[in-house]
Amino acid sequence: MFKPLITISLVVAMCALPVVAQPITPRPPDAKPTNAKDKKIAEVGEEAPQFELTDQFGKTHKLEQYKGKIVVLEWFNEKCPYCKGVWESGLVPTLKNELQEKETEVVYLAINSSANRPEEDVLESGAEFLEELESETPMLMDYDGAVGHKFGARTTPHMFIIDAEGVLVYSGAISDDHSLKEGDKAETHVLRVVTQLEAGEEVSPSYVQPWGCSVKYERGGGKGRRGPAGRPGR
Amino acid sequence: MFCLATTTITALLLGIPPPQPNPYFPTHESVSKDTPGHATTEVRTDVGWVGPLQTFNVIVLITPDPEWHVYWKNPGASGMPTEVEITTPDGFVVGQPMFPRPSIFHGEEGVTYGYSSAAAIFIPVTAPAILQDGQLEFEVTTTWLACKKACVMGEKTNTVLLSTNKVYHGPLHRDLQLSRWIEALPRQLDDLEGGASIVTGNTLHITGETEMRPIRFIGVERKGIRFGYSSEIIQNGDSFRLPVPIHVDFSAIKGDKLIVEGILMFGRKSDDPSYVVHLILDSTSNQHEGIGN
Repeated sequence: MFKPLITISLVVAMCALPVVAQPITPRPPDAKPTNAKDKKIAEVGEEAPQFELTDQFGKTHKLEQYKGKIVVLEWFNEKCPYCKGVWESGLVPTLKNELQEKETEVVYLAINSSANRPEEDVLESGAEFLEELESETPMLMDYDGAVGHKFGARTTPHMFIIDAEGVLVYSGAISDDHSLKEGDKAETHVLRVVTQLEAGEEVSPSYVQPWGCSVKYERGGGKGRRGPAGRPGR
Repeated sequence: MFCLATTTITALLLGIPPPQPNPYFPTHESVSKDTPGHATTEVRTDVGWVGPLQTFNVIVLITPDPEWHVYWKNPGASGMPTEVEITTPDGFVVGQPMFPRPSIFHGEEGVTYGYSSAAAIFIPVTAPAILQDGQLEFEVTTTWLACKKACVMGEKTNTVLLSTNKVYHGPLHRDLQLSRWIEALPRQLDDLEGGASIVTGNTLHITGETEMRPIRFIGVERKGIRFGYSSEIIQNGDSFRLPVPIHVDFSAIKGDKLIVEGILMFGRKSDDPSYVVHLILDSTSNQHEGIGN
């Protein structure tokens, strides 16, 4: 008589345990904490880090070649719905058109530091996305993430603006329209900063917390094969 | 399911009330793997009906799919804040949302703040002075970014109907689910023994008494305010002072008032105490000091 009772009791006890136990604190994803001690990250007000990267057309871009011009860098990953959204909603194309009308020449470059897929896939996929939008924006490949880490790029998109003297004057969000409801009508921090630069005004705010997916930097061991940057035939 | 059935049957035979599913953490049956936006939202209010000038809460319960997470109002190193927009009938005033204590996620991309399980966001709404008897509709749109290894944007509009009474305020609901959600909300810093906050120069000082550890502060970054990392807590018995470096820039905002806001958290569990830190800094004040809470 006691055996079935003991069995039932054990079953009840095992099944009741999750209910009476304390709520489980959500466990963070397994990862090492970020340690930026050894990495010097660019600060607003300082000279922007120099870089030399190749775009999807095989053309090399050096930051120093754009001295005398305002340079807008967008950390880019077309797989991120937020980054994809600012392009497809028309926000970035409209912004680029507005920047072209400025007196000072403005150079707009996308930088792709994604390394969670093979490099060829990052290149082709990003290039196709821009082609479909009929954009010739250079997408600079930063597969090892060296340039991303120098700038401290955290999200896609994360905008950096460098003035004509090569000084980093802005780091942060492209706009405050998190839900992308305003589409191409959204006011952008980029246009605001370029307007302030042209007017000789202080760039303020020079930092607005960036939103979006995290930059998919290369982790230990990397993902996929590295390959030649640039697409043949262009 | 087998466990629940067995336990329930056994409990009934023995005259013991069967265990209830924990409403705080969704069961697998209630969460779809293919949920659009990888999270579900449900909306309710905390009153039976609403009367003139009554303040009640619209409550959005957002539940990420298993292994996914959504973000707090400051997502941290990456992500996007979960936002709620309420379309109300004329005359109703919507207040600032109150988020439950977030979890802290440490990733290679940095530290982020959010929720990997159900989170109830309370949004206070105040009724106008004149109401008619009837029923009104409120439209609640929630937008979020849900992430696992990749991220997905989500948006859902829920409708909630609420009865109105032209004379009497409606009673507060008293149910276990609501009580648990309220418990998860941060309290006012006033409620903490010795709780206070003040900004002097470039430092936000938060004081109080607790024997709990660790003690953490997460700021809500806005234009004109940036928070540094507070590595040092000054402790004397149960009393503590937490200095948080801040950078204040009034030129970055329109107007002369800046809000310094964040959450003070004790312990590590989602039901450990947390407190709202909220101060208003006035640029016209000589010392740029604000005293809050």
